[in-house]
Amino acid sequence: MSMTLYLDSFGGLDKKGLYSPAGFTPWDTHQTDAADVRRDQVLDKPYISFGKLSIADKLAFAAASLLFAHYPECRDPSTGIVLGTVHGSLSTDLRYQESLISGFPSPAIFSATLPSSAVSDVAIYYGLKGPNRVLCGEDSTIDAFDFGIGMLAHGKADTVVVLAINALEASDRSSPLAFAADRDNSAFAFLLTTRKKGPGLNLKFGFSFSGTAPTPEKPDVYLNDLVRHLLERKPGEIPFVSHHSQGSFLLAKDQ
Amino acid sequence: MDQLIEKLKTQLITTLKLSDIQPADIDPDAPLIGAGLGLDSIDTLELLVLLEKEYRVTVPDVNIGRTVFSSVRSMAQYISNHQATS
Repeated sequence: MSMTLYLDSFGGLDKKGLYSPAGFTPWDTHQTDAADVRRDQVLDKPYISFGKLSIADKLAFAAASLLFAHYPECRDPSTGIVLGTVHGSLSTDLRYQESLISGFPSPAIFSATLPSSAVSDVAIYYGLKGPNRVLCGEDSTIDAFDFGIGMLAHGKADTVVVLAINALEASDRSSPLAFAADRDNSAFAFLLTTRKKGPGLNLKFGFSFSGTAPTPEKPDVYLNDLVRHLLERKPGEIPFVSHHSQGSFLLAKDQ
Repeated sequence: MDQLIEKLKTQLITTLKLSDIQPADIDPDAPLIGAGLGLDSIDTLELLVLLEKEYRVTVPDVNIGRTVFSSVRSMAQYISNHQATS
């Protein structure tokens, strides 16, 4: 089965800086990591809860905010969300454990000890009421594309935000519970839709299902490459391969 | 009392990790929950922990809690009253 989707916007942040349809913005001199992102770099109005967000929630929220900042008209209540989060809520879990040991367990930290809290922060702030899915683990950032595309292919939603998150506090990288601890903190968001001539970038995303496709060996490198191509708007084709699907981004504005 | 109110304002911002707000922005008589500062039920639980951890003061039931957490001034008043009697 094959189908054509469209990519209407994107946003992201990694150790180099911030990415959006408006371009790339390097970090300020004192910022060295995606987790250093400030509210004013992703939102143009005050948001009292930004500082409360756990590292995973903050990165997911920041990426989604960059995605919607350039094309606010892309916000539609029926939009679904698929979150792929490599480390889940590990850093939050460890902070909660510390608060338990201190004798004063923190209700606020406890409320973020589910990876899905990142989805709720984005969904509530941007009013997205479509279906959602959370995936955790090493390949989850790429697998999130599969689920997002699956939602679109099966008519569960006609627009989906795919969030691909690597988020781990620096102090937790030596934890025996941390795997893939060498992966830098990053977050990328992609707005996929079945709507032709949507309000955003409207880049064609040709796509076909295949159960035999190998997953990319380095998903983070793959996602970075994809975003770099999107930034440069180079006409051409970027192959997309995940566990269950393959296709390509056709980097040309649909006419 | 005024000193305690100023201390509580700073603790509110630090404990609840509030962004885009300074102690001077907090009206000591403004509602904390919903309107005003816009705190939610989880924030209220966090404030209960703050009172117990920092001031050794407990709030025994929800009705008293509604009064205590109605403003920064009422929190300060409750702390003053209960620290004095403990």
